[in-house]
Amino acid sequence: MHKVRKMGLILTLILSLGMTACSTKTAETKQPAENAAAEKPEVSKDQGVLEISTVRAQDPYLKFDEGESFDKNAVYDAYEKDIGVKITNQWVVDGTVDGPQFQEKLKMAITTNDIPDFFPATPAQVQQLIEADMIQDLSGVYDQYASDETKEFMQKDGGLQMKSGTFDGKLMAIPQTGNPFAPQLVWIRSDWMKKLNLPEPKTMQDLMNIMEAFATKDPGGTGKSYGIALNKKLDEGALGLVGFMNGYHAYLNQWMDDGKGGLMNSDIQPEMKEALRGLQDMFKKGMIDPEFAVKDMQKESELIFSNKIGVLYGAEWTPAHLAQAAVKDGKVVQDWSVYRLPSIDSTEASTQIELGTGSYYVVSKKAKHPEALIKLLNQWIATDNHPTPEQKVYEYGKDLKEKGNNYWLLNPVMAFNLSSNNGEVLPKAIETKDASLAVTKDQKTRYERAMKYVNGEDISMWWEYLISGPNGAVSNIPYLKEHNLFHQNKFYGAPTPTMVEKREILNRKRDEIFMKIIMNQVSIDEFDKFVAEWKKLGGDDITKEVNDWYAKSK
Amino acid sequence: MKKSLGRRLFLGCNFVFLALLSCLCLMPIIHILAISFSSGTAASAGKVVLWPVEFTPAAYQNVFGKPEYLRAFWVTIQRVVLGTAISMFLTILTAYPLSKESSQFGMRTFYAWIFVFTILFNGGLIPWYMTVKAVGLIDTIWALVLPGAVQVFNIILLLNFYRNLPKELEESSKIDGAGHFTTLWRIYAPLSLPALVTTGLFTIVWHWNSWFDGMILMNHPDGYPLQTFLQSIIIKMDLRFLKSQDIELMQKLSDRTSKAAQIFVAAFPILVIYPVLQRFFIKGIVMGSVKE
Repeated sequence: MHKVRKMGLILTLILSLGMTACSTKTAETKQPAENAAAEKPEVSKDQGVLEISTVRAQDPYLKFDEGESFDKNAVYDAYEKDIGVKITNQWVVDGTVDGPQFQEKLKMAITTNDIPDFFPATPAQVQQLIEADMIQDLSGVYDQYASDETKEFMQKDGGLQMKSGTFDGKLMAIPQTGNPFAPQLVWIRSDWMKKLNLPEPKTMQDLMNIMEAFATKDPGGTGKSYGIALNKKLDEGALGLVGFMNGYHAYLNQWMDDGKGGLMNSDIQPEMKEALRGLQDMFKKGMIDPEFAVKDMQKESELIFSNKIGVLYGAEWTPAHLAQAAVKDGKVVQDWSVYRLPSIDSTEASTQIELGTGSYYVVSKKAKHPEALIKLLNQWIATDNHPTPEQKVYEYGKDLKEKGNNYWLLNPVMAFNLSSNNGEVLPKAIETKDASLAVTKDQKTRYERAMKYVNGEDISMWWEYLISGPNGAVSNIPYLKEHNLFHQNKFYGAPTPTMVEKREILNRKRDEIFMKIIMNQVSIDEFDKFVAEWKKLGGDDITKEVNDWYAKSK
Repeated sequence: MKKSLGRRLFLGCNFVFLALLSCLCLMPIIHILAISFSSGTAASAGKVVLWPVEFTPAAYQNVFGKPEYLRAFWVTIQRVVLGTAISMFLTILTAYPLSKESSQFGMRTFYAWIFVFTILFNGGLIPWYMTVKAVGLIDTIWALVLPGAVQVFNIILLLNFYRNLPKELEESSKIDGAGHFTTLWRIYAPLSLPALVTTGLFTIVWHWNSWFDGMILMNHPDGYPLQTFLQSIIIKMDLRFLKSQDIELMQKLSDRTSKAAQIFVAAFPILVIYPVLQRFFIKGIVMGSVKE
């Protein structure tokens, strides 16, 4: 009896001990943080070390060297040693910055007003943070601390991306710049084209013939084949519909010139109706998988991988996706080639592109050293573009050489080239096997990968050859640039109030109607009804707001 | 005794229907298992249905060679053991007094309603997070264990079970000189074994499957339980804005066989536990719900 009572008491004791144990532990960890915050100004005066906190996502591709971690690693040490900025992580999650883990946790941090000194935010979050008065104006520190090189680098696209981080003349957010020139292209099984003796597609009609031949003559010998691969997301990067629509001079989800000095939405233009009519005709002829509307990209891709489809639209990275089935046992079993978007008429097709950035670095109002962010940015731009031998630590870690650990992902602030000349450089370098032509880090890695395929060392690198090699995806970009065949979205501001409220509904409505038209469930004239409804359901209000913004930002 | 035709027909239909139903539940697991043992190309071409194509155990070698996976597994085991122990202890302690009559325990109705209240209303996500943070549990294993330690549903189950025990038992132990504590641990707890196993199983499964709290309350991937870790590898990437530097990442994520293997390994322990505890499980629920 006593034994039992004792046991109960012991259990209770253990429980309460556990509770106290964990509360003391957090108390301990909290203490230094507060001290550090209190002492920071003095420290920075004495040793010139600025401390700045942030939040990070741990990319699955990042592999730490022995004994290093996200809180203690060669890259963070280098920043502290070289420019006197000590980076601390408030928290780290698995995944990428776009991933749900990071976004959920960041949302929680913003709602509870527990944000770090600086962090990457989406345009909608930037807007929200400005309204809540939680982030500070960076105009002053940017002017004072940004190096000349940084200032020039960030303006390489004519200043659009920097402008998208400026609100009421104040620089509130620094864009994580990127190259906007990412075209949609059409990818075709070249071994099938050869087998059926088909010419290369110059016009949309040629492409239609190819697709029809692929669908009816069944070059894969599977018994049932289709002309083109689509999936349930119209704007997916590969297996989407954007490239096809661009061939009809229709653009999906963009704001474009209305010819009267204002902007109009691209989804409701007559060109879109023609593109949908084209798709409906294809569907009637059995060229489209009737189940595409319920399949995601990976699921629909099964038809490609199992030799049932040989045509798709996709961005330049598409071969990395196709490689899953194209290369087998060291042999290329599905051969693909890539072409610029064919056009329905005599005007060449433009490919639609966005701003090139979707992520912004913002600094909390409570941060004591906003200039640390600018210093990090300066250092990244310098070390990423022309590293000295010691500065290779920012890319590879302490061993200063490539070993596939992806240490560059540790850099807390990144900005990528706003215009890339891969298209001019890489195809030539790979064709002539001239390694000296590849200059930037990106070009060097791509060159090396493609050469592994060319030299037969690693056939699975076939995808890089199809992206960067002669007649590869990027080889088309110089032509597109030269002939001005990029159709950039003219709206790059934060979502307007009506957009926030209605965009989801309008897009769902659009996708539903478009799908029904494509699948021949309703007549093509439903499109006109959709346009009228779109305008009534808030489209007109959005257009007005977008035009107000356009007038202001001009 | 001969069964009538109608009866036999009914039994036959019933058998077929239930067999189909259980096949339907079994199919996804077998499909995942088949994918995990197939080659990558066969899996992504959609050739695998219920039997592995081009058999290879490579995915499993990959999984067990992954330190992050094993670490997450360990966190989950910790939380299940700790969480179930604490939760069961508190459940027993709470259910016993609440099972008494109001004449024995004056404020009983009041306390019972406080517990019921928490089922009907909860504070929501943000207050929950702020509370856990204010108490200082963030980024510790206790954040996964303590916030869900009192499972009111389990308490009600156990409480009803105690009520159905003959009052004479309590009275006789009292005559023998036992206090409430002794009565609870020497008489009630052993007698309620079926109900305890049932609620214990609920708690184990709940802890095993939780992923959201791990994602929100942990400040470092080292502290992720298994399901949170799995969620981070099986989510789909948004490919619309894929940057060229993400290509390699995408190739890695499209590795379906490895994902399937990790999912299967994660589901395995629960698959094993269920049949073992099942006999208690059925008995437990029935006994807890029937009144005298």
